[in-house]
Amino acid sequence: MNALEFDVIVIGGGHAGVEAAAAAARLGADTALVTFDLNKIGVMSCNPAIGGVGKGHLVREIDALDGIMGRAIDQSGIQFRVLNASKGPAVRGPRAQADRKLYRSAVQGLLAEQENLTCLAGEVIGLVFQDSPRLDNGIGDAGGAWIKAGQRVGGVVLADGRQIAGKAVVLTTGTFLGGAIHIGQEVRQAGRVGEAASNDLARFLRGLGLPIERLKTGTPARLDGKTIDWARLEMQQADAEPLPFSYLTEAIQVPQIACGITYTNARTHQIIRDNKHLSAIYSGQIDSKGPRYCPSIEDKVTRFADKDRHQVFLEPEGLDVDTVYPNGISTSLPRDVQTDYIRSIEGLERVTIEEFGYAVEYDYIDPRALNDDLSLKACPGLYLAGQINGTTGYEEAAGQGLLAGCSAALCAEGQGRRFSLARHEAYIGVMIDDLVTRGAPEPYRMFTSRAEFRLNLRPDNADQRLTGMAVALGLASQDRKAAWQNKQAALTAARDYCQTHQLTPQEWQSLGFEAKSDGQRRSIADMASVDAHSIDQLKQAIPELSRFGDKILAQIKTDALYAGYIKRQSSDIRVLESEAKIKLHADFPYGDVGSLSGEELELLNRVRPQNLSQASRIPGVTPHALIAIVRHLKRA
Amino acid sequence: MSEERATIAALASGAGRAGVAVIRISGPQAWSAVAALLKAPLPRPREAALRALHHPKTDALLDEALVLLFEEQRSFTGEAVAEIQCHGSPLIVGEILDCLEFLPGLRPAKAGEFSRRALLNGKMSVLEVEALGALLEAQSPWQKEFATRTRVTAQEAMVRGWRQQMIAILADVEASIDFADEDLSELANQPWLGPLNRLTRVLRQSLSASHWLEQHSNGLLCVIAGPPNVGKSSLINNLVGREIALVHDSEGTTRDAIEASMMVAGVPLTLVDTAGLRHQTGAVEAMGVARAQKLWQEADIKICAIRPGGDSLPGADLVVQTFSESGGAGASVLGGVPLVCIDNQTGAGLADIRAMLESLSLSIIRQQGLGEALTSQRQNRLAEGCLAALEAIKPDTAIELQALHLTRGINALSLLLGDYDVEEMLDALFENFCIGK
Repeated sequence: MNALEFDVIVIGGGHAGVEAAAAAARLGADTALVTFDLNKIGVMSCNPAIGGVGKGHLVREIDALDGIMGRAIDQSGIQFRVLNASKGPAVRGPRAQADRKLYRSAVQGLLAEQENLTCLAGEVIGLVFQDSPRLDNGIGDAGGAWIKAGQRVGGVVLADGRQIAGKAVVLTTGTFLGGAIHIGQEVRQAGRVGEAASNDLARFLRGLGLPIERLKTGTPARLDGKTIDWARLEMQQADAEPLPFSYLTEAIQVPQIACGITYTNARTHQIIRDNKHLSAIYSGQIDSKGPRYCPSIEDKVTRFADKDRHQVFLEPEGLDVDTVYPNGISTSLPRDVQTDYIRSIEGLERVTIEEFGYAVEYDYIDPRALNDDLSLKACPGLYLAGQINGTTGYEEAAGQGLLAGCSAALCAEGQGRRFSLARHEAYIGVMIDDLVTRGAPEPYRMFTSRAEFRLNLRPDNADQRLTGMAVALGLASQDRKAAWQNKQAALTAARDYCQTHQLTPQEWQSLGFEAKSDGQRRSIADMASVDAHSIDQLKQAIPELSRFGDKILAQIKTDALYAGYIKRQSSDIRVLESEAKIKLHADFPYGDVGSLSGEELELLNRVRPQNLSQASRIPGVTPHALIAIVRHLKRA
Repeated sequence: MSEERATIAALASGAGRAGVAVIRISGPQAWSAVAALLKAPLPRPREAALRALHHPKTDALLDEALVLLFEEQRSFTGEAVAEIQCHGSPLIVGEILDCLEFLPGLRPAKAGEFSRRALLNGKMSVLEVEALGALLEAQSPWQKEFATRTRVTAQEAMVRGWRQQMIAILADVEASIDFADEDLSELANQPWLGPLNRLTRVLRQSLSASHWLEQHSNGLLCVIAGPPNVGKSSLINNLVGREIALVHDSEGTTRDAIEASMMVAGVPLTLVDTAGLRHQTGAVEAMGVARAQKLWQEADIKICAIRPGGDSLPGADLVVQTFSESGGAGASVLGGVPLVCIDNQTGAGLADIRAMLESLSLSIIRQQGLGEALTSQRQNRLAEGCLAALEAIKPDTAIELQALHLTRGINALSLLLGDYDVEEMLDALFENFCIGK
């Protein structure tokens, strides 16, 4: 035996693993991050961009919980753009393209600064369980015999024979778990191009009898920007004033660049149709499910045959590299077909392909096997985050990673503390609740439409919603805490002023505002709730407001805009909270309830919801079943 | 034993003396409960068999009855069901029920409990249960029509259609929010507003029919006005008297309205004789006049009774001339309104009035578009909620608020029907838009 021993072991150095390791370490857990290649920590496997609508919301939340992603992209973003800028603040999506190298080094730099964190290179091939026969070689063919319900995890085994003891383990395997890359008819075992898959670990986990299934995703070819005819292309510029992701970033220092926009055409579509049978996805070589919102170009051409063109963004991958990422044409067609169809696109006629696109298939675990703190129900101490839970996207992975790392650290701490987020508190909460109650029949991506409390779960108020929790938990750094407390104080002062400063309708009218002459005094906040009343207008009318500063006033305005709607949703939140208080024990005897249909019984036994609120969101479980469960609980 | 699993028994046919009574038993012990009363073996499921029923304790013969068994999932309630069709004497029914309820695990069914179990077990939809309730309460063939299975199916399809349209609209709205970075130029000008306005109109129409139906649960109101002693009461007596003799004074004053009911073409008609319209002396009478005028306004069918040469009242659907100086009964027209002359002594002309009432009633009902009406207060309240949500959406409403209103509206319809799921919206969205990198 050796002396490697930690509180928390995180396996994987992608976006989930990074946040998990950093969060556990921030909470004071002695943490190890174990990954194949330390130099690859923080690599962006697919598109060089962070954020978007829904995804940007997640990044803001990650940052509010003092995570890595927001700060890393602020140090490396080369084109910041707020999507939906003309729509309401609740649905604006901050997005930035990244310089890949800068992003990776920003992540690695932030991890290097983190106390309590050790990064170790190695391949994890199995887990050790407490009170179980010692694992000699870590190969889990007999694993099923070792894991019994409720058996605690005790560490991991590496391919070189080393064992690392840990009180809690977070698995973030990404596309590496049993990863297989497809280009045309060619299949290779790999997690990313040129990087080995985690096959031993996949075999070990399968041996544990966990509900493992396969998903797929895809990525486009990478192009040599020097061979693109940029002059013929429409260009898209960054926002004039880049909006940082992190609440701690004052201003973006990275130079901003433009992207090209081009389109596929009839000839592109013809080439794809003629060769579709050679695509790994269409030839039947891959039958696992891919995301509908991230279709390959073969999918787009087939499913939307009436569309005569599809948009392609040409995104430079960095400030000092020529590689360009053509966003919109991911594929698993053979190399020669890729070359043909890409060169049929305007501006790309003479392009050189640096690396070909591919589809990747990987193992994931049905997330209905998880609790809302991302612990595996069958195995205390084992946490899962990212693509292993059936999600897709860096931001989704990072959000889960942060929560899983945090939960693992609390588990290792052994004080009975736990951390989870509810649907009305955060997109991270919506995502995890969706995963644990619905599973992931296709790769799960965040959309704002998944959040029923969307008007409150905004990118502008993520710190208001979450940083307080992080501070209370001990998850936030001193800097974060201080910045947040200052902002809170400023907001409270401004809110008080805006609520208590009230004028009569005549006074408002004399200041140039429309106000019904009903004798009702109206506060500044009341006036701000009208969309048309801008902050500038209010500042002009009431010069005293200027002392609060534009950022604080913008927050007041946004809060006021939605206040009425959010108030009306408070009863929905109360229902959610009261149902969440009705706990359902892990071995609740659904069979005894009676009047449950066979389907409901199967679903409830499979998911084993932690409380009534979760049960209510399992598709197929009817309100009548919930009533029957409550009545059974009352009798027991 | 859990409450839901208890076996329940009750008389399923109407109470009182009847040729045959049906006792229904539902639950896991339904069959064994019946077996406890039999000496012969139980019949095969779904095959009626004549059996002698004996008291399980005293062995006394209770009755000879048809026994019919239904298996779980293939019965009205979805549970194992037994039906005993015995002689319809309250005494016999009471004795059999006493025996059954005496058996362990059995208890009397509460009101509506069989339907409730059918609902819980997915054998009936909420709409069907409500229709069943309406059917049991129906007084007339007209109301029964709203509770038929085909009618409920059509109604459910109608509401489901609305919800489907709203989900499709929401999918467009959400696509333009969540896929801001995609090339979805087809959504740039909020193309969903047209369909949304059309749907709003459809809902408004349906609700107006529903409200009409709600207000007319007792049928149509037919008001007969005219000077005193013109023969209005006799007319009513003649119209309903011999058939149901329901004419009675109401609210204690002869100056007030007199009501009677009759059935016309399957539609219940309440006939009201207003006292003293146009006759104003004294406070009591003035009050009567005010009431009479209000009734006249509210009436679905307005009949004005006149003497020969008298004037009709504005808004009348039918003028009845009660004294015929020329002695002849018959139909003509007065000021564009049909005029019928009757003789209350001989009954001449009454058939014409009946025919007029029938055609007036049918045309009123046809005008309401009741095919699109909802049939319970609960349904109406939910559809109103949905309509309010749709009406809250204006072209300049912020898009995230449009989505909020739509979601509320869909939720209201889902409560009306069953369940809504965000995945349903996403399915609609991905079917219609090419989205992705």
